[in-house]
Amino acid sequence: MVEEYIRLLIKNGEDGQGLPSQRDIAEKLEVSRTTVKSALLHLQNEGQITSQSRRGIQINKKKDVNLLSMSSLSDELAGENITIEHMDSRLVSVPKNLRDFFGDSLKNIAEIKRIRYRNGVPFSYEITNIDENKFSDITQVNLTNKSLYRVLKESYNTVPVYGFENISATLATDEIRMHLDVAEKTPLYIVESFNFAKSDQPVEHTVQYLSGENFKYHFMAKDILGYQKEANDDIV
Amino acid sequence: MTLFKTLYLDLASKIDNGEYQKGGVLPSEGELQKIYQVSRTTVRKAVDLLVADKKIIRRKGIGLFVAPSMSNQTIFDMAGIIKQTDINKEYKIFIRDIFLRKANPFFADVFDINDDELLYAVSFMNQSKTSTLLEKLWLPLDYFPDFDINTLKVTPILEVVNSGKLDVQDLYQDFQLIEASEEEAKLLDIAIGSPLFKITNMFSDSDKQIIAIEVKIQDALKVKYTIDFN
Repeated sequence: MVEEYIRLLIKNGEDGQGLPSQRDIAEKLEVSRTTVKSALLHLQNEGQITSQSRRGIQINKKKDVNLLSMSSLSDELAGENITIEHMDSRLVSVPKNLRDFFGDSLKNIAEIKRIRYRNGVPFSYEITNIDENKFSDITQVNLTNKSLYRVLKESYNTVPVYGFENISATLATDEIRMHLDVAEKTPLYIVESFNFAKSDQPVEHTVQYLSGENFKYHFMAKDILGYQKEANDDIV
Repeated sequence: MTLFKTLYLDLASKIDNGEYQKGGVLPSEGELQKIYQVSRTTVRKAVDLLVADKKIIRRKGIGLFVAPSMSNQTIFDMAGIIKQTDINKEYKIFIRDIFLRKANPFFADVFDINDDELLYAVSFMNQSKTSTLLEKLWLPLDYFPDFDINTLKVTPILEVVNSGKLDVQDLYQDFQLIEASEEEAKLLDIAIGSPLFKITNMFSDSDKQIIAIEVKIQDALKVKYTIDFN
């Protein structure tokens, strides 16, 4: 009950807004401070609030990203002072797990590494694999502050039309934590996407590491049972 | 007509006309023997036939249930929904608790109902060999007057939610990475602070009214989710 009261404050509050003190909440709800502390701890575990000794407890509204779209993350966060650092592009041999996706005959593949920053703070580290035979000289393209999808569309006349994503989690390894500037073993999302153009043509594969503290994802599925309703309409 | 055929037809018609709710529990085979005054073999033959017809499912150690309309595979095949990559065919549902409680300000706000309207709050676990899922479900009594908790044991949540007074149209799924609290760590047998995935599903009807909320929590390092899109 205490937790729900605080959740409502969070829901109606803004990012960075302070919450009433533990004592004030305890008094208002007529419960012990221990109860309030326990509720706050749970919400802190969820990343809904942050607790900093001087500033007290603040609401942490995670950046809410709609991943069910073909737009890249940069489109999603347009206008939020996002910068993209293009770290490296090179040819590598096709990793085993991507041979099915790109086709057995492919020997080498372009590998593009980038980091995205929001207000100067790194939040995403991504590695994209794309066939340089189909997208010639893609390794020569400078992708600093540029959306890869825009480059594919404008320079190569290719637009991905469907795909799928796998979402899992990992604890930050040395290489990744260096790029994302997080502590060792920080939990991160791994979002792995496979994108196709018409006729099942593989376009690109990207693995993206994202901080869990700052992000949450949402997916909106509309009319999910539509096919069922149609079927039932026929049976009268 | 043979005895088992009579029994079979009787049960089949009760299932077809909804007397036995989809996903609902049936009398056990032992109870059926008593009710219909027939032998164990007769009951078994009739039930076998109903299972073959996919009208009933047998859950070892739990009982007989009317088969739900949707299987986990149906749901898995739906695009645009985030789903676990390896869905487990062999899983068991353990109901931890169920309360009928007042909505109170938070859920009243979320569901857009009055503070003092009643709400089912169910807490349960989905356990398979490879993973454990902590689940919570909130169903306003008004929308689910005939809610039967036993249906949770065999019926996909989407179907449970669609079996109330209102039809489900849209699903909003919220996906977060959180740290295990003490209680969660204990239930999932992991260290406090370990990463967990928390998925909040909000089901709404054609009037954009949220009719049910489901929360799923599991060990983030052990599971993978997939979503298709076009």
